[in-house]
Amino acid sequence: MVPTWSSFGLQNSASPSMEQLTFFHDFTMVVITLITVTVGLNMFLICSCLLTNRLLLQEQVVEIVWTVIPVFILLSIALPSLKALYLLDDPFTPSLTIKAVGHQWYWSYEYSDFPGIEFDSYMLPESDSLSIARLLETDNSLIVPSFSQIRVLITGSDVIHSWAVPSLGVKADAVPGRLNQVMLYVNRSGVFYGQCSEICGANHSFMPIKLEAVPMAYFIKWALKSS
Amino acid sequence: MALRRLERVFCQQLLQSAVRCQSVRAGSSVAHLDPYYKIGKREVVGYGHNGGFNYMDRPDFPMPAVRFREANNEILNRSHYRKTTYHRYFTVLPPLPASFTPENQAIQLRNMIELQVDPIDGLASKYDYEKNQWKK
Repeated sequence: MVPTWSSFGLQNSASPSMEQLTFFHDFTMVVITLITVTVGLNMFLICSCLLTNRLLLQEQVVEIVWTVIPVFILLSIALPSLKALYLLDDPFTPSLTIKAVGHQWYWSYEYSDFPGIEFDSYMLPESDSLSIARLLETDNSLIVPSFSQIRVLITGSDVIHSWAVPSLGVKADAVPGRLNQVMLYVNRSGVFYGQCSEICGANHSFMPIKLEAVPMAYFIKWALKSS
Repeated sequence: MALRRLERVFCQQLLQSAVRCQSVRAGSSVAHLDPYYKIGKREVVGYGHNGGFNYMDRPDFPMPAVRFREANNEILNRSHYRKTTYHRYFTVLPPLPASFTPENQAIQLRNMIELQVDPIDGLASKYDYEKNQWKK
């Protein structure tokens, strides 16, 4: 998915893990908005009040209340957060493994399960076509089957990059000499974009990720044709 | 009434001591209340990065205390920083990319509708694909 003009929130999710993250984000945003409004209102009322209690020294009850209530607020934030954390870490048996290698300044993908499928993915320059999404389109996109468990092994070849696709809730550093694993499950067909998320040199902003999720039948047809 | 007079006197003294402090930091012992104060031929035009009357190129403090060029008619006519910034904005920054034109945005919007971008509660959710028009 693509961020739309003047968009403020998260992109619509395309995977269960991103759904969980969106729910958690929405819930936490409500809590912190309430806290901000309450504290802001208190500060305003204190500053605007012309009276002062000269004899005020301490108030134990208030101190206990404003310590205990934040404990419950933090617990109410921590529990869904841990639930999302463990859901994201769910180990499952992948049906497909893809390697994503970060280079300066492009991504290369390898489908180890299908012999001979490996390609580089360069950003399309703006001058190629005016109708494409600027700084997001690539010459070759990563094709994956929808409704399938996919493992992506991410590494870098030169400097540290980061492979991120916001609508799938996925981001992992591509570190040279290290393999980071992310699990994907795309629950709708479509085109999903991401950008390199770790500063890696002059063209860091110009190495996007384009992922196309297609039904399994189309994916197998493509894989057989490409290998 | 008396309180207001006292407050005004206090504020004036505070201002004077602040300016005196600035001039002490600049190494001078004279209180500079002259808006056209100069160091040699360079005009003092602001606070700078530490209140000292010197010129330094620092990206975190973009407006030095002392003007770089000598004061002449051209500089004095453009003495406003705001005018300089306005002038700089329209002469130094590059033009917007071609994708910002309304025609290109319309094409991109058509592409995004066809790709069903944000179909849950975003762009595509507001488009009626059966009638091929925006939902009312």
